[in-house]
Amino acid sequence: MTSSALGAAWTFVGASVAGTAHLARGCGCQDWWGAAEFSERNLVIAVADGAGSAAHAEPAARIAVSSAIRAVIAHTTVPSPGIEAMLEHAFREVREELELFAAWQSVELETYSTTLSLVIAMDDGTGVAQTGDGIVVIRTGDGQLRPASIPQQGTYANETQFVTGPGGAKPGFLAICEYGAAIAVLTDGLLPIAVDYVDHTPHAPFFDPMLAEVATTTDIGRTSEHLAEFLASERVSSRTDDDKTLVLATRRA
Amino acid sequence: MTEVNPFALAEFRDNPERRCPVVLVLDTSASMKGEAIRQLNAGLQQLASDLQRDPLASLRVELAIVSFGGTVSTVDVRDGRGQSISADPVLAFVTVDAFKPPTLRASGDTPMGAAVQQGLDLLRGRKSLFKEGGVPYFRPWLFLISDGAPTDPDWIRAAESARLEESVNGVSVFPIGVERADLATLAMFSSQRAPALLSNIQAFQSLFQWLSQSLAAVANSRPGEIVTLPAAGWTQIDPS
Repeated sequence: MTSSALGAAWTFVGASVAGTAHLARGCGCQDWWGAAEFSERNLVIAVADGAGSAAHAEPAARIAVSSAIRAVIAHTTVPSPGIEAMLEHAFREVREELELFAAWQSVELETYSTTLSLVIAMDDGTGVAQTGDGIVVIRTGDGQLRPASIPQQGTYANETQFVTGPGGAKPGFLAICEYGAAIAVLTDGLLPIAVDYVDHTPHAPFFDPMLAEVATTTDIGRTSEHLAEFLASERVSSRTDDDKTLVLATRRA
Repeated sequence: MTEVNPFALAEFRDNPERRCPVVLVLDTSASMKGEAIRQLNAGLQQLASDLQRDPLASLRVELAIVSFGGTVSTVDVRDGRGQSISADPVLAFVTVDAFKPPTLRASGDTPMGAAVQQGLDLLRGRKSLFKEGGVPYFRPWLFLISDGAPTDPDWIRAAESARLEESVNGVSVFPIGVERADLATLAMFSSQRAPALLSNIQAFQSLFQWLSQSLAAVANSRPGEIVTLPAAGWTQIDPS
């Protein structure tokens, strides 16, 4: 589920890499991602960023990603319940799963604090639900890159919302956009180099070469390694010391 | 043969770095003469070099100094000469890479209240500038370092302002007293943390070493993280 793939309808690649500040504090990467094709032509992508301040941030991110994807795939019925209902169902499932883990461990739910960005791409539209400060970027039918979600930020640069917070059973942001030819999902660690801080416009010179590589690759394993190497490179870590996750998906047909 | 990584072709957007404004409100009254002011000055140099070693902290943390000894002055921290400048949030702050702390001299009485007020005003003004410019920022910090009781009549009002600003998450205030300081008075400036006491002059150095570590911790904090100063660090410099 978390490996890159040349699927039937989509090519997708992703990587999560620990930030230098996390390595310095002796904690590993608290980002996690997953993606899967379902119902032949559809794609689901989930990306979670466990809160650095939370004791169980890393498992929280993994639980959020896996239960979100499982919920989307399991909720596929004929006729389709609709993208919005699928997204909302998945967020409820994620919240319940995290509550369950916290209860098992007899710890506060906040110790499992994590963000979640969830994308469902179908032929008739791309749905995005998000709680937290990640961002989803899509290439629309006219070839333009557009922000498909808004990072939820507080007054200060280190504040955001979590699926474990008040009202976290519902996504903080939900939108259904038009057909997406390509999709990118990022955690906040990459915001400084990938989008405009103020209006969140995607920086095309950042995304274009990467999406072109994903669209044309014939060796997804190699492409996946290249992405991880890039995220871990000095050039990236000199601009951001946070964990960073990037998932890129392009339609094959 | 070196294989070209196609992802390395990505060009980066040049966003402004997230900022963490810090005002150091420093007692330069006559009673600081001698070893106390010498160590305070050495500590400022140490702070600058410690922060400069951390590339991202160096870009994110920005510092201003308000001194109080006889008069209250916002001090130019660009060229090490320590000239008084107007209390202007545009001019008062510099990022760490440009921070050249002056050699402070001790003289005069102790207008602590007016100095804290000026520090709070500078931080408020700085935040407004960030908001206008779309620059993301961390909660500002104010360090109050003093060895004596205030001599200005308005210090109680300034202390109330500091506590109020803290209660609405507008600032984190860190009161620090040197030996024989009136800690009860310093305690009035923060409702969230007790003043730390410096038992001896050597502690100035450790204070600033600790200060720079804590600033690096905030500058490295990630969205969603509750910014907490290491409690141990705070009590370690409290010798009581």
